[in-house]
Amino acid sequence: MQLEMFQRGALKMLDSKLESLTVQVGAIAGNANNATNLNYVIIGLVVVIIVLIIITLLGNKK
Amino acid sequence: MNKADLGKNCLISISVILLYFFWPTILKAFWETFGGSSTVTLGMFIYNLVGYAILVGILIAIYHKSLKENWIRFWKDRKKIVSILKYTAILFVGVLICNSILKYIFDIGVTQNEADLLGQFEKSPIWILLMVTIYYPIVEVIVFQKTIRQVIQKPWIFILISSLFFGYFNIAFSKITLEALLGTLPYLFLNAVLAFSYYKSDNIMVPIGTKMLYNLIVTMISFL
Repeated sequence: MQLEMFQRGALKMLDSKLESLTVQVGAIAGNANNATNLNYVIIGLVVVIIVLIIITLLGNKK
Repeated sequence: MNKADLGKNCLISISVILLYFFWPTILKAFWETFGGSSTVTLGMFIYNLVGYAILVGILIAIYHKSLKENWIRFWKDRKKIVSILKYTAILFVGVLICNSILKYIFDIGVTQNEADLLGQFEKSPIWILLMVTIYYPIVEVIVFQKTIRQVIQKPWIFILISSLFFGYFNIAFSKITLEALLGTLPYLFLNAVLAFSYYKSDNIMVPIGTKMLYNLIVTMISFL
């Protein structure tokens, strides 16, 4: 009985350690593109386009 | 590069960026127009698979000349293949540090973007595995790096703008809160390393290969 409890405790601890490791290693480099609020996306796109146009107009050399 | 070429590149870059962001909406609109079911079915899976493959095809077609030249150059130089391993290792160490800071200082675990990806994986593991190991590395490196590099010649401005662009759009689809903004830290780092690898190698296959390898390992670790 005690051994079973110990095993269960150890497994639980291992599980939480693995979960913590997963969280830390995480950050898959990909955009889930799960649009819940398109307003921010459109604002961002407008800003990016304006920045690109300004840089093009100003010209930029290495 | 003269102003006319820069203007042309800018126009192409803006078109590619808009295409990437509105492609899911276009696919969804077509699906609904032709009476597709709203529940996840095999038909929807195949439709999305073909739809996203078409986008990859369009982007490759747009930049086919430089991609072909980069591809040939990549396989001729073994150092570039080794550099993929180097940058992947840097990504792991850096993201581990970023995530530890977020978790132990700000008590932030999984970001909304990460949660969405994990949720999608539970629904369709094959789909998300294809997305994170093939689709994202090719399409996102073209959209977030190649398009910007075509316009911005100065390396550090390119790395900065490209990283801010990528970091912002990883949270723009959800609510923008302080927690979400802090959660962009690993994404900023990820893109900065990939953009730096692109600038250093002058070959887009290096960031694409790095992102493929990194995402494959992270996905494997996350779902073991």
